[in-house]
Amino acid sequence: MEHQVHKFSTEEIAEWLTQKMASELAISIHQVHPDTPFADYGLNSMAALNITGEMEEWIGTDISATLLWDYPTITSLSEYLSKIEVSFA
Amino acid sequence: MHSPETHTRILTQFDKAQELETFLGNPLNADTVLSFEHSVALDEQEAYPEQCIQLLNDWGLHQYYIPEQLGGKLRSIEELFSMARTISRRDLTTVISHAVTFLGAIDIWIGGSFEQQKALAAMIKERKIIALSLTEKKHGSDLMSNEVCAEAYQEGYKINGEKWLFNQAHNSSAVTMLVKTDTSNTPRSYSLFFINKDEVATGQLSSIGKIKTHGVRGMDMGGLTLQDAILPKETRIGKKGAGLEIAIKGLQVTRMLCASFSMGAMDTALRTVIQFAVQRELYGDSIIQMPRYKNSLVKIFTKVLISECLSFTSARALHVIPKQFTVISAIVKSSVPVFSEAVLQELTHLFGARYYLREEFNFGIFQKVLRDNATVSLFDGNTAVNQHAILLQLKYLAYNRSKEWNNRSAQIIENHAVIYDLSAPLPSLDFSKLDVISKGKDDLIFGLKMATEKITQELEETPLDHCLLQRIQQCLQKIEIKQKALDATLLSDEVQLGNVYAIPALYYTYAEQYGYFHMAASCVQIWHHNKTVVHEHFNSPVWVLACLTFICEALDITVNPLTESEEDLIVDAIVELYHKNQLFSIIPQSLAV
Repeated sequence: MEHQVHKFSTEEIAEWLTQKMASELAISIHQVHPDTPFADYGLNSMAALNITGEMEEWIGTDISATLLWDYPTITSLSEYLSKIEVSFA
Repeated sequence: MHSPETHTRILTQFDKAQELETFLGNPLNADTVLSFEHSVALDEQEAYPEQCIQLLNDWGLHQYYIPEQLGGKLRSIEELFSMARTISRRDLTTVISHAVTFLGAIDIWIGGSFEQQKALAAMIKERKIIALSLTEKKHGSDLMSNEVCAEAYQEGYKINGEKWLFNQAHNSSAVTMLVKTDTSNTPRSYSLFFINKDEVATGQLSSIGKIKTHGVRGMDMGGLTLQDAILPKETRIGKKGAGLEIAIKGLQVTRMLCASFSMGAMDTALRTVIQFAVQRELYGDSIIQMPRYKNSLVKIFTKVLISECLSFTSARALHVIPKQFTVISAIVKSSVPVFSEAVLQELTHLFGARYYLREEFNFGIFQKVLRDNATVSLFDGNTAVNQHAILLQLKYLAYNRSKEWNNRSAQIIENHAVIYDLSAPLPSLDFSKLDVISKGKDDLIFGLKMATEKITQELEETPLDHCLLQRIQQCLQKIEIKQKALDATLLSDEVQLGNVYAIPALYYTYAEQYGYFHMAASCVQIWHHNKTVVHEHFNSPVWVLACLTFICEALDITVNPLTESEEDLIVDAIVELYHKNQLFSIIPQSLAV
């Protein structure tokens, strides 16, 4: 039987993204701000898309590769992702 | 032993190229439209090859730019690749001028509405030329700095600015153009427009005139100025802000054509030099028998073979694993045109003074090919742009491999069986599955590890070529060690990708290395899977050893060079293909007589 759930809360996703950004940019998590656009950290707009591959694995569902172009901050992206429904068998 | 006739029946993807080859005739025959004499004469006059384009249209080449589901004949990139290679060996000016319509069309096939697709298909069927315009004079490859801007106007857009340096700027009936559609500077600030020149009011769109070029002199290179050009909103391709995404996907497909241009150029340059070499005597004997000459020929031919294996693999991969094509297409584009430049340059040393002469030896075709071919590495993202596309993804590719390397999925094995076996039926083309990144997936890199396993299996099963196979196995093992070392570097904290401008030069060499791993996998796998369909000269894996030896040298891996007798086998194959009037290819393909 398959059912749909919202797997992660906005806060959990924001925390994951903050850690990911900090690790990617080799900076402290305190230097990552939820409303600063990813591009403002100097992260290449194409390189940033690689995060979607890891996010897919973590959340457990397909995510558009260009999601970070459409939701360009941690706040907007985590809000969007928290609404995604994931199927479980 | 298999006859060429049997082979071509099995590998149907080359049938149309063979048909086109016969139709176009022998380019050494001055009576054919696409003859070397005619091409060189047009180049000298910087004249557009109108008659040649007309001939290709009469044959129906334009139909192969339209997907089958829209009433065209585009069903296989392998087929299109081999047809373009056939024309490229005659005249790059003609093939590039003609194929630009595919460049202009691909973004509509990927992201256009059904109405736009139908209208475009009808235009191409009427032999209209479609151009693609992405760049601007001030910004080159930095598309996200482009300034040509579309502002909302009534129900549509008003566009101002100048697009610069694209093919068929003047002759085209329509242009697919990347334009800024908002004032910010993000990847979503750009949209593509399909601009039918007939539908733009007089004075709003003007050609800046022909831009003279070093090679492909007859080509219609130029630009367009838009002055308050009014366009209805229906001319926008896809959603507002989708331009860069669609363009990135489109260029992945057209990069395969660039590889075919280079393959055709290498064939003509090599054929011309072999024609010279087999006739030429110095110090009382044929120059082709001189050890230094043979050694150079082997190194040259090795690059042709690697390019072909990589091209075949990639063309098939577009059908099987389109989501991963962002990496694969960038490897092809950053390798094959670069190899072709090296091949042509090395051939100049074997051709002597004749390479520099504009009328001697086959009407001076060599110097034309040398100049024409130099433009291919600039198209569809230059070499650095493509290496950049690879290196951005390397860390994530390495991360994924670290989990899967010893436990690859059944899907990867299944994909390999279809990609590397040239006679396996391919899934239909589906451009909607292209993506802007591969999300850490690269099935073909697993071909390297599996190549070692295949060779080990061969060593156990076949009594033939043991010594060769062992040396191939050793090369592969050393390449795999290099690959693991690169992965370790990529996964360390040393590698951090910041903005494009600041990426260290060293990272570009990582992208280059990654390309060599793909090449090694392609050569071994193509040989292993196709021994019964390749030309008889390529049944023995001596050519595979030559390719791996070259790849090892490029990767700073020490291996023994080929012996003189191994080099002789490869030179014999080159000379035999020349005498039998066959394409310089592992697959038997007869040339027009």
